[in-house]
Amino acid sequence: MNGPMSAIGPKQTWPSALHMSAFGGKADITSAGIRFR
Amino acid sequence: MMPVVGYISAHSPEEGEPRAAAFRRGLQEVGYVVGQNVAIEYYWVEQIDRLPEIAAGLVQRHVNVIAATSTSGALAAQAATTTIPIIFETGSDPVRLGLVANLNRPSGNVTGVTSLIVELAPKRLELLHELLPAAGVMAFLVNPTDRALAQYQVREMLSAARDRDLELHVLNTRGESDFDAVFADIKRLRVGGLVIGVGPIFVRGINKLAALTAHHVVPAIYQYRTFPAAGGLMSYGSDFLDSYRLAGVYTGRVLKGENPAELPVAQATKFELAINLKTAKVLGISVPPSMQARANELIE
Repeated sequence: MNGPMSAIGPKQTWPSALHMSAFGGKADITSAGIRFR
Repeated sequence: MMPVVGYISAHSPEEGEPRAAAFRRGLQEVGYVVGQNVAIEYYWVEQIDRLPEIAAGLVQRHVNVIAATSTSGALAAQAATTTIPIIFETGSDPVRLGLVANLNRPSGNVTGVTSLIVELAPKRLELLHELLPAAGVMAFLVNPTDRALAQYQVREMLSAARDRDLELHVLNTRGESDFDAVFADIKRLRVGGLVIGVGPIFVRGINKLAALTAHHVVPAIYQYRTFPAAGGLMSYGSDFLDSYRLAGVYTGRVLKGENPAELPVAQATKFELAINLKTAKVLGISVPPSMQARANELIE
């Protein structure tokens, strides 16, 4: 996880891990969403 | 089942959150509260070359709306689907980008908001030249990896420079690690003034750019007031948070069943000029009272 994700707030309602496989694992799952960098 | 919005940003989560918050305010204005009656999946995409894969993933997941808050993101989403509604937030002219056929009647599955920040690049050159009437050589800083945006901006800027009889050097940068080399070029080319282009790498690196313009004594203009606030000379642009709010409103309207083809592209209407008078003084520039009067903000 990168950075102060608590700033994003309690708005996440989706299970990011469920579709992570679609991106071949080359991304960071964070509480704020999926990050590609 | 709760509708899902796929939100594509070109920023990191930290940089992008104020924009996403404005987007959510827009959604809320039309009755959608995240977690209550809508879900947002956020994709923070700093790697432009991954956009096609991400857009395809959103289509595969059958999200209800794709909110593409960058030019490249919008183009990738458009290439991925002709059926899922796409709401864009771009700084460019969406007709010239091929996102919509017509501003008033987009006609496909794509509509959105333009902040016109790219269209204002020639105006930024004009304002800078007004402060530096003796400067015959200017530079324009652009990120060539953000291809569609870069080509568009360079075309506009070269034409504006020709109109004003200015020599314009187009300088490429791929990110903060290049900035020092760019400023070495600026000194070598004896550039009188610098227009900083549009794109996420500049949002990300604006504090460093402000510091470098001060260190190398280069008068420069950017789109957002964050630049003069960080010690740069001036900025001219629209209220980008309001564009994100409007994109949220449009997303909500489409979720309610409106047809994107019938939603005219919204355009920014409020533009702001900010000048750092302290920086001007250090650069030896006298800001005429007429320009001070036009400024929305004078930083002293």
